[in-house]
Amino acid sequence: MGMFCALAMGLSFLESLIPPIAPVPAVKPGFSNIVTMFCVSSLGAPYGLAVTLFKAFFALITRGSTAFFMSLAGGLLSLLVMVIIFKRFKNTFGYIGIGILCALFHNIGQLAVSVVILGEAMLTLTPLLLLTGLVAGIVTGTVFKYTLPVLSKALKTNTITHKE
Amino acid sequence: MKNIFGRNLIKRSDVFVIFLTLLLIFSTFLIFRHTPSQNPVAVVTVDGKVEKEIDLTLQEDCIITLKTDPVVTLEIREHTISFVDSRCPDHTCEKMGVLNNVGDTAACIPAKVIVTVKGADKNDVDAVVG
Repeated sequence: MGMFCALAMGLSFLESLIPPIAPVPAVKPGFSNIVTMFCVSSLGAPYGLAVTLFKAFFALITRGSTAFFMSLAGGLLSLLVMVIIFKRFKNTFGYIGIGILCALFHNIGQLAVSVVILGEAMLTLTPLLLLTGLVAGIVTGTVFKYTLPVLSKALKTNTITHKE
Repeated sequence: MKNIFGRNLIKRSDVFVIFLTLLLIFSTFLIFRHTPSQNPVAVVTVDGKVEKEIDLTLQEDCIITLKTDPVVTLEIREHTISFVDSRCPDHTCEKMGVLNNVGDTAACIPAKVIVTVKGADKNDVDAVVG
């Protein structure tokens, strides 16, 4: 479990090194979402929740309380959608569809919090956040497809060594 | 770990999701983007309350310091407005560049400051269509 938290944290950090593409703080590719997606799909929702909470806590210590609430709201909403997809609509969507839906709801959650905290003016960013969610979702969905086998393999060998 | 490997990269429903998202982007774009205005007004919001409204066509170049926590400095230059300094760790707002078109928005999240450019036409109602 610690490994996944570390992975999510590492990816978040790497991401912060990439110069912002669009002029909004919330716009990032969201690679740490891949870790959450993996946890939910392979290990179960509680693991996903743990990673989400950890990510929010990481945002709190590195970027302050506003970032914490935004990360938490986005993360939880995205997690909820993820769980619904993997439980109810297991075969409905491909990787790209899952990636997009998770990214979109992540952004919607963040937007909702920013509107509450900062005011209605934030709503003008809605089209931009939806667009970036779409692009980010396609990227994370694709990356997820190709990292899933590797992650699962790593997880398997890991559990076996622990049992011995 | 069951049948997740057999999943396709993209499915028919994904295309539907993409299409729906694009539609949503377009419609929200239409809702929140007002028609271009002759006199853009920069609205500075602090913590959800409107702090200042600056007519960008009339306002001369100046520096505005907001006593927020962290302190934020805005600059008005040649009818544009931009964040020039923020005493916060991420400095994202400074990278947002200059705002001068209606609909442009920049925010400093730690200081809870938003700058939006709005149109000031009196015939604003004409812009509300469908």
